[in-house]
Amino acid sequence: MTERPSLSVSEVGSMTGLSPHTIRAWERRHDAVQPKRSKTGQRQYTQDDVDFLIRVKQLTRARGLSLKLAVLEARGLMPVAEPPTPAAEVPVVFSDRVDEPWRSVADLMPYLVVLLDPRGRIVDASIPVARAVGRLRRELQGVRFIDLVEPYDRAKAARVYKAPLQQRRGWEINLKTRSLRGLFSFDCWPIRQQNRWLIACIGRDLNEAGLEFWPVPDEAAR
Amino acid sequence: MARAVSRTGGVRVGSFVRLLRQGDKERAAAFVQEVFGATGSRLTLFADLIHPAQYEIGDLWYRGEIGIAEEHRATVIVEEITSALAPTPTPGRSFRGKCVLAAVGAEQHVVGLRLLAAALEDEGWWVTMLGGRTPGADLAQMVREVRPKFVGLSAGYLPRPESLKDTIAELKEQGLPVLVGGPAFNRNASLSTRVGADGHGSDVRVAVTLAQRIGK
Repeated sequence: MTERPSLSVSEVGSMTGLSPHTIRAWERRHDAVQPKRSKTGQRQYTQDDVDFLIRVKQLTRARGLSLKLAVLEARGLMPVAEPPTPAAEVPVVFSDRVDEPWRSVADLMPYLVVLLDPRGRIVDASIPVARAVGRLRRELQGVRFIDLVEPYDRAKAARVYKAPLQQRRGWEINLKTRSLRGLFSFDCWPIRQQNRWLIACIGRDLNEAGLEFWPVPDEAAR
Repeated sequence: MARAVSRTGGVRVGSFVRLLRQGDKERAAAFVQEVFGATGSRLTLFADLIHPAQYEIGDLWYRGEIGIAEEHRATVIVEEITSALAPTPTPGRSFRGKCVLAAVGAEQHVVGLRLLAAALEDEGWWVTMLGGRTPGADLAQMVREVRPKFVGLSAGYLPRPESLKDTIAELKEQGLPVLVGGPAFNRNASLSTRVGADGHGSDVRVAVTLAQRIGK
């Protein structure tokens, strides 16, 4: 891995087209970036800070967002409108049965297989998902999918279940949990179950080293 | 048509995106000329208007809000308009050195790379542009002939990290810094460091600044 030198406020200004005064104001008012300080008190920025500031600037100009909202959107923290849920909804119940046929297949695949409800909460998941995030499968029920995602990618991840539901191919999402950090390419399909729509997501590992997700036999029972 | 630049100097990217979505090439060209006239610099135009607009269009396609034909039409309009712009050499510029730009692997999207080449030329760089689908071995051969100060690699879709890492390692064995850019790297913040690149040009202005650091 290449160690990158830190950037001064004037270099960040050259890279973003923002004045040093504006950069410091965004930092002060909206915590847009939090640079480290050198021993002499100089701000030391990273390339991630530069990318973030450019994204915020783009969002203010391209979508007309206020600075506050642009910072939230760039962080993936903009509230996502939840799709309306029909009144006569049949709740989807997490199945504790270990002999579900789809699970037997999904658990054998070196992919992350996740079933989400229209609010983005996990209904069921394959063992590779549980292994990847370091939790038992049953503990994943009700967990928000975006809580497994890098903050930067959360807005994008939310589009997987945001109405109108649609099929998506090759949806690249960076996952980040205590035990996992890496890029996955998700194929997502709306599927109908018990009179309501769910979203089936299958994530392919795009990481350089490849991750070990294969379940051990007794894990499938948990 | 609404003014392209606000009273505070901000470029109205959203209005330009709407023109691109409508496929209105004539008004889009007039919009670009207005911003170009106000800024007097291809680099500023690319960084403050073209790149954000392309990002928005790509994002609309990525979200499934526009089809691939609409996205391609917007890209073609942008290519035609930007290729007709006259160079804007930076005042007092001097020759900074040579560089080689290429899109790696199966990559065919080179609009961003073309914009970067134009901006680097304005800053005094001698650019050798290899375009899309450049095989790693041919790139290394060209680099040995040109002897550039740095190499810039672009990827729109995520390349196989192993092959990209090998390509970059081979270039660095020759003592060459490597900058990377393109949507694949913008979407995955850690990819550029994982493949061993010396810098990530997340837009044309960042790439030019990083190149200036290298050229010192």
